[in-house]
Amino acid sequence: MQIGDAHVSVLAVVALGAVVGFVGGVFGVGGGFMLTPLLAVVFGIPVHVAVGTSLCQIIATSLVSLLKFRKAGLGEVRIDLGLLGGSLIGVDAGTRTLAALAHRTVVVGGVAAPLAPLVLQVAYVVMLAFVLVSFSRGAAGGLEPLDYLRFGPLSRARLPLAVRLPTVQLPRVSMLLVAYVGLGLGFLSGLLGLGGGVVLMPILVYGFGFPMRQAAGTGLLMLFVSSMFGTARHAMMGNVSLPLAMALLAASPVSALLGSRATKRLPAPLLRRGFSAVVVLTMCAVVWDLARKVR
Amino acid sequence: MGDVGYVALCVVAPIAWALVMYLVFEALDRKRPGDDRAPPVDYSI
Repeated sequence: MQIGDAHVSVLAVVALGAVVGFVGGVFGVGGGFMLTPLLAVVFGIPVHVAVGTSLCQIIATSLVSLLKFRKAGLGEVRIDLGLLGGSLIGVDAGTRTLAALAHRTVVVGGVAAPLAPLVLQVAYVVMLAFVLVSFSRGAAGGLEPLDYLRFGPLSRARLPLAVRLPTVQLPRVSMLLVAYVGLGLGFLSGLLGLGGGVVLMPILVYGFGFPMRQAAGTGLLMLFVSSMFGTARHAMMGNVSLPLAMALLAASPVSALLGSRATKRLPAPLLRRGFSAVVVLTMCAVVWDLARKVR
Repeated sequence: MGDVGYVALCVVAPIAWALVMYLVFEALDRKRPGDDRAPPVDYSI
């Protein structure tokens, strides 16, 4: 299929959707953190289309993961609701920022280049590095012991509008803090085309002290609603390619379901290594493309 | 709405949302049976 100037193999896109869905299902994230950069770098799809379409694909994967985790009784709904208001505003702000960047150019090596892809790729490298550091901290012995509850620094902070979280049994978490975390996640979502789950998970585990499995089930409702809103905002700007979204969605809901089942069956070290490998490969692809543009 | 107004909205809206959520959850906790709060004191004679 033809998207912008890029000719894309449908089978390759379906395979990418399957991989992203599986990773999303395993870790309770939407998978946009790998999907958007890979669509832009590997397939050469215009970055604004990659962002909009990636959000569209996240609707399906997050819904499947949400239903699966809710059925298992995992996830703190109060955090989801607290994140939601800020997240919707953030998505709108991120979308507007991307639209503003799209009209600007920057001179690189004497040649004028569009600013948006460069800014987004740098942001992706930073974000993927954050993800890698967070999860390698888990690989160093953080993930398994965190199956129990502890009070993270953000749940110990004495901030206003604190409520009780009955599912994870935390006595005081500030809704104000949660709403601003939602704002930040929403901004990343609208700008970079990621659901924000991959950033939220370390915040929940290391910041608030959520048990790992509860953290994986938390934020999916916010992810689902904000990705729907983000898709609508991007679609209004013509940033969503329906054929591309359909190819991505062909396999991703099923693979997300398999991924969420695999969480219980596959050994944790194998999952961690696989996840780290996927993040490193994505980061290498983005850095390589960035270096190619700058040279 | 100009850029400044929009940024102000982005900054203020989460506060309003957090307040609403706080009031809702507090109300839910008050109704919840088996709540670990102390029961209200009966001052009637």
